[in-house]
Amino acid sequence: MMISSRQRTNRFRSIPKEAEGLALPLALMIGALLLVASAGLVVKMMMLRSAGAAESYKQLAELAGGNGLNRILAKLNDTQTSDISYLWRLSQDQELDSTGTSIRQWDLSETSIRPLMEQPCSALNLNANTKSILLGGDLSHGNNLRSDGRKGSVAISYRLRSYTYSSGDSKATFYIEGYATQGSGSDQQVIGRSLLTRVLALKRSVPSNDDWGVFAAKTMVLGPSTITGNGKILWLMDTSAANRFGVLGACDSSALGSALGSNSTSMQAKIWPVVGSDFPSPGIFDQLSAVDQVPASNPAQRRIWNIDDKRSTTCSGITPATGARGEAICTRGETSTSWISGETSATVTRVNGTISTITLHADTICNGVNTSQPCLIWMESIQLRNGATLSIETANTTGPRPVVLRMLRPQETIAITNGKLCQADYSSITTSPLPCSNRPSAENMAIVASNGDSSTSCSTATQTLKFGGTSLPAAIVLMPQGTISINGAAAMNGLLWAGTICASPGVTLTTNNSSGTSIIDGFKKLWKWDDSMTFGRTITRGIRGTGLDLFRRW
Amino acid sequence: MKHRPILRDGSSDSGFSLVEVLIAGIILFVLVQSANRALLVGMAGTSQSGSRTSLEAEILNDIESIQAIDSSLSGDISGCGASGGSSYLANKVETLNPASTTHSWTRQLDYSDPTILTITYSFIMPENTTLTSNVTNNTSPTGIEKRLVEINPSFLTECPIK
Repeated sequence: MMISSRQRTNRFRSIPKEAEGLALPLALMIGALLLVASAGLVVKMMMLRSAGAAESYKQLAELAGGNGLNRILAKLNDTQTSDISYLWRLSQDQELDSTGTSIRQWDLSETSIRPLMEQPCSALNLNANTKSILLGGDLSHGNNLRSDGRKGSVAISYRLRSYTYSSGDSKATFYIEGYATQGSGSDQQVIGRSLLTRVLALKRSVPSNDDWGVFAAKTMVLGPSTITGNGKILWLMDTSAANRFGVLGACDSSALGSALGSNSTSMQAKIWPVVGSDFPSPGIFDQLSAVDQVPASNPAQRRIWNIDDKRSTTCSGITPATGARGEAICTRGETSTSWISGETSATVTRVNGTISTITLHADTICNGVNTSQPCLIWMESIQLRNGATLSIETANTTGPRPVVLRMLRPQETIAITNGKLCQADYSSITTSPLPCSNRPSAENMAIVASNGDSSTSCSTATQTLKFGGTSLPAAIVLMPQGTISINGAAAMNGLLWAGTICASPGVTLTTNNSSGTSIIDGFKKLWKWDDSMTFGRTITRGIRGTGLDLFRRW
Repeated sequence: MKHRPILRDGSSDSGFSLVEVLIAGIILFVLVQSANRALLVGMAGTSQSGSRTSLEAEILNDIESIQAIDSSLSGDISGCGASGGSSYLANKVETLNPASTTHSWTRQLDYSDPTILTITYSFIMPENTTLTSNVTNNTSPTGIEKRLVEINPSFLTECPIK
């Protein structure tokens, strides 16, 4: 059947009336949708590019901060070319919009900076070139770090915002700004920046044995004293006393010598002032030593010794019978008030009634335990005033056995005004006193006191060690609050560390043992001083690894 | 002669003319083509972004590996010799963490300063579609991106003081 054109027209007319006219809006909507989707994709693409670039600049800026820190560390820790490590213990605030008074200690003049320094007489080696590296600079080495078609080169640089030294915990805190920039000169534009915060630990090191303090005091009168061998004279002082270095020439050796009463040119050159530091703790001897105790005491009691070569009474204070003598060695338990005599033919030798030698044998102290562990003896008093020699056996069958003479009370003294206090070599003879060793090692006998009145006067001091001549041949002396008083030109091998040293007659301090070994080395090895323990002229270095890098945007 | 209206009211013969349909088709074709192009570019951008993220992560990982090597050398004073600490560290880095040849970035170590080891990473920016080689050229042709890292060897703080 043929369909006429009329019929076809009628078929098209069957479209519902309400649907007519929608085709165009639908087409427009689809078009708009496609346009929006296309625009969205284009925007997304542009944002991805932008985000990629921003991330690049952020990374560049963070690397710049880290690189800047490394450059500053390299300079501050570099002691090979020019030591500027004294800057570690000063602070520098480079804040651009600082609201308060900026602390810029690195910028100070010599007379202003020296009183602030821990070691006021350190060489001031900071020059303009080094300082410019510390405060900031370019890090790009001429490279364009992102050649993405921009007009100018992309470069990185850093700037020290601030450096803070905390003396309490010996920490250093850096704030370093890292920048990514584009262009140069007046056209330079910052395209990324970060702020790096880093906390470092500071570590002191003594460069050599010649920098160790072998003669140290807060107050001292040196007279003609000299040091033979390595070592420095440490002049310990508090912060207020450091103001003396606020004048030019205060660190000249003659000025330092004059301040300490030294009339030896070589000695003056060894004087090294240190501010805010103190003596090593006497505890270093305590913790490694066995303590001498009353034999068979229960509970265990420390044994207290009192030795006097001119005592006129017995240990219990009774006048001896006719023909008898006073007792030289008296001991008691720490909680007891009654003294007992330690004098026997094994410990005391008399010549015509006068004591010539007193010996503390290794097998009578520290319960005779035959080990190499040092033995610590608590001393109430040692008085050698009648020509006697007190020898202490600082060795046993196993080898050296160091002895520590620990002074008990603040008011007591060790006075060797006429006599000698020396070390004795190991001997199998235990029935008679022993002679002094010809080759003692000073580190094997320590005289230690932790009390005292911190006197600055040589005449009124308490807890005092007095000696002169060769009456103390070899020993290490540590009396942070006590006084060493030289009563005649003296010579000894060892180390002298005391709150006050009154040596106007002069003492010749030799810092090698007679065997040629270094007392400093021996002391460090025997008393287990690791690198963290220093006492002398020190170099400071910043150590990483104790904190993390913290970056933040700003 | 009476013209037929463009929009029919339905009362007479309705529908678009052939010309109208053709024009609509052309417009639709152009729009679809544009959308398709934008879609492709957008997908490529996403891919480049992923490549950049991956590349940057690889470089950051390498930087951290080198920093770990540096930390592990703390206390090793073998590098305190005359040749300089950065030379020693560079040698250790090349031994323990050699630069991979399969990566799409290169690494150069510069130890001319004995106290600073400078590491330069170079790579072709993923967004760049023209440059495919010569990433180490310091003249920095368009499309090259770099990362510079400077390390002061940790063990230098343990070196004896002269």
